[in-house]
Amino acid sequence: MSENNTMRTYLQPMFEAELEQLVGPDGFSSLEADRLCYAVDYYWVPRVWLDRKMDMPKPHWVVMPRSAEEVAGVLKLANRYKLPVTPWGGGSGSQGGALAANGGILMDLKRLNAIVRLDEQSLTVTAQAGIIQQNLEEWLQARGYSMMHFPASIRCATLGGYLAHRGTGVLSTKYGKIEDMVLSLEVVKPDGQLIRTAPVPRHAAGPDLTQLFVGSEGTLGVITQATMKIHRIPECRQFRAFLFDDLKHGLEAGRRIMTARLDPATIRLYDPVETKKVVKRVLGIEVEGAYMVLAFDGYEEPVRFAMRRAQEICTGLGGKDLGEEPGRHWWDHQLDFYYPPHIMDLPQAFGTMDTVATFDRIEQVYYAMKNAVEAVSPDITFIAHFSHWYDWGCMMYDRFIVNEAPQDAHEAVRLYNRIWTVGIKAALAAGGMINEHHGIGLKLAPFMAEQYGPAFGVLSAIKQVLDPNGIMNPGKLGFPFTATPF
Amino acid sequence: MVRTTAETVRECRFCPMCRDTCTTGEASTLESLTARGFAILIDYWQRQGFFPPGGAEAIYACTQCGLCEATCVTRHPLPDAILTARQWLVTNNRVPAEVRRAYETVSDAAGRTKRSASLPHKDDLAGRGVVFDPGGWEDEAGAAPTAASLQRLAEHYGVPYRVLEGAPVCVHLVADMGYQDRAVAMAREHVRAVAESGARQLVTACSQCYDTFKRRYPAWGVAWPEGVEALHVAEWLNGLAGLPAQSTAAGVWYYHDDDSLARRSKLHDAPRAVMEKLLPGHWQELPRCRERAVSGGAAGATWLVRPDLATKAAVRLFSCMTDVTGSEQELHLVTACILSARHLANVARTTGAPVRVWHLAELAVAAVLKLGGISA
Repeated sequence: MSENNTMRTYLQPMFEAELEQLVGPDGFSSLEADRLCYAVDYYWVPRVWLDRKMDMPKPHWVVMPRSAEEVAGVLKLANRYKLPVTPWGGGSGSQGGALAANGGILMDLKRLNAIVRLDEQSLTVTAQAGIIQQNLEEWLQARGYSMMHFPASIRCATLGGYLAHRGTGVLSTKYGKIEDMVLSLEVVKPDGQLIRTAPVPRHAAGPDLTQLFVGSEGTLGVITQATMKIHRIPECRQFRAFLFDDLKHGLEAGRRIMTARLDPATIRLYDPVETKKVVKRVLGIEVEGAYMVLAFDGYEEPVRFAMRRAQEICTGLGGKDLGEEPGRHWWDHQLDFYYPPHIMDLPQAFGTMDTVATFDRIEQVYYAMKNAVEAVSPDITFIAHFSHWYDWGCMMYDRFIVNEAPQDAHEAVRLYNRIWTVGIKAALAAGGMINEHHGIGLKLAPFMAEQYGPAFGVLSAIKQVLDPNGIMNPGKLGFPFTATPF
Repeated sequence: MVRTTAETVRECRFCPMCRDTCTTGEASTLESLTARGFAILIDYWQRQGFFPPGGAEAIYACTQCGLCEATCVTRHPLPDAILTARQWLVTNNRVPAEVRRAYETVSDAAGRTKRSASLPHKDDLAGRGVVFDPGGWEDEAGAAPTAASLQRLAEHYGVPYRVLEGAPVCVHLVADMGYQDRAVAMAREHVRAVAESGARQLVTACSQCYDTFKRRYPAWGVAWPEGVEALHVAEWLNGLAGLPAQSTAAGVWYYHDDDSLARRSKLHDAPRAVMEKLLPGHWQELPRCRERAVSGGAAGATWLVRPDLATKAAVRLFSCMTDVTGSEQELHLVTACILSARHLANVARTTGAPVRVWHLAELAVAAVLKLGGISA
């Protein structure tokens, strides 16, 4: 009997018995059907493996804890057996961050879905990490509040998933990304210790521990609860759409609106290719050029004022004012882009590179990536929209599409990875950063050290201290594959 | 365009955009029991020719509530694909044991309508009046009280009636479990009994039966008897003149769109009109209603096969009420489907939820005959 067999024969039943003690018989599953459904998220590669009938890496156990204490118990157990643990929220990530690539325990957190407290004085809500954002948002709206977090994945992703991967929504230009919305976290460390970060708006008591865990992708612990900012539902929200002859003028209009501090809720600028292909197909708006949707919200008077100033900026740069209706139409149908068949899917090969840069570099990043990616093969289309804007720069939601991925799975993945690599290298060389809100996961892990340089050593050292056995989501965020199952 | 099962699941298998609505997904929080999980498993079956271990059980957990299809921008008919998978499991003798047991219970033990012994029965319809098909195979728990309510209303309004006897009931449950041939045979038998009743109208208190008569019978090639109009009880009640308004109704009243009326039949207005006549300005909509209504877990035979999930779905529905109004007030939930009412009432009783569940017909008869329970 090999050592592996010995371990499987003796250790696995012991582990499963202990697991059952911790979470109960309905708190975990090792059924093939369950393991299969957790082997695929929104990352393109496992979809290809599944589509081409390839054997796929699956978790050995799916565990569904009901409390932070159960999470802690499972992490202690995993540490003892040195088993990988991969937290799972909604499974809507596009970078493979929630895949149990090394097997082991897949920890589905959706049973932690309680809304714990609404503080109407401070305007905060505290909720468990497994709540689906749409459910939290509807609960808040029924009480006259909103988190103002409206990502494409709102109907499937969890609060914890957004925090772990630095998610963002379509109103982020005014209300911020998830890291701007969070006040404090409850986290179970890899050793099973439960900690809470400071529940205050700001402090000067050393580094911000909340932000250490935001974006950590389950590699430093498991986020089990969060206190988030909320807002009263604004008195009005106004929309307007514009059409620019080219991307350059659209980008300049966006820059002037942001640097004028007009505080738009949304600026969404589609490049000419996406305008022609996607905006037409999904929204039925048939125009050529760079299509921009603009939104302001708040009290009526300042909204009217800001919209008027933004209109002046846009028309002053040659933007054609298409009026309110197309802008509102986009708002009403913003999620349509992400349903089949509008969402990209097999047989296409596709990837969202999602890049961020300062205003002085964003246009060159766009062209550097477009030229590099489209040079890989004439079958590749590069499209982009600019959807999250800051006072000093903006984010580019850039995607590549290959209409027919090669039938051979290995060939398909090779092509996919080649496109990614040239795109990322072009973005980094032009002064961009990968990425703004999709996270690193498996996909971008190899580029973390290059992107950060020596600073990555700081992250690695923190990981080593918090998770010496390397059980937490191994292989993600650029950290090594360490713990392996029996 | 009719999509094949393969096309349906291929297009939607990776899409999780209906997860917040998926009844079993919410109840189980398990990925394989979400719409996306079902699609992945069906896709696996289509490609490999079999389900992975645990796959058949997962396919039978779906409540067939239809929320995934109703909330999908492109209306992917995933519930139909799940039914096709169940039919394959039946044909290939791979049905989980608990499903076979449930099927035997439904098709053999109590599968026929019975006369309510305590009430008068009129046989001489001769092309006029209504025949009541109360639905529900478990008389003492569900069908009998509703049948009695309907008969009392007919008596009160002087409508000639009889209760359908000797006909198969719950054809939809048999079909939902994938026993298609048996369901079609039952449908033919049912239609014969309806034709022989001599009634001008058939009134059913079961939304799932109503949907089956209207949508599934034609799809199965089962012709509905000429000259007989199939009505849902909400439509029939709405046609009765002078339903008395209950101006002193106590507590908070909600109307719940059951799965079949909400999404299959899309019959939203008639029950609301009845609610408004009976409780004018004194009832409210649930936060998600009409086509997006939260499911109570009473469809798709899940309450027979996976009662744990069906119970959780009902509890979730109740929590939608207490979320809005708190649990201090007296809460009433009115639904127009007998199976839904029966299931929800059972769950309220066993879980101690502070909710009284009414079938719309029971509410109407309580109002008309001043039976109490509505006013303070």
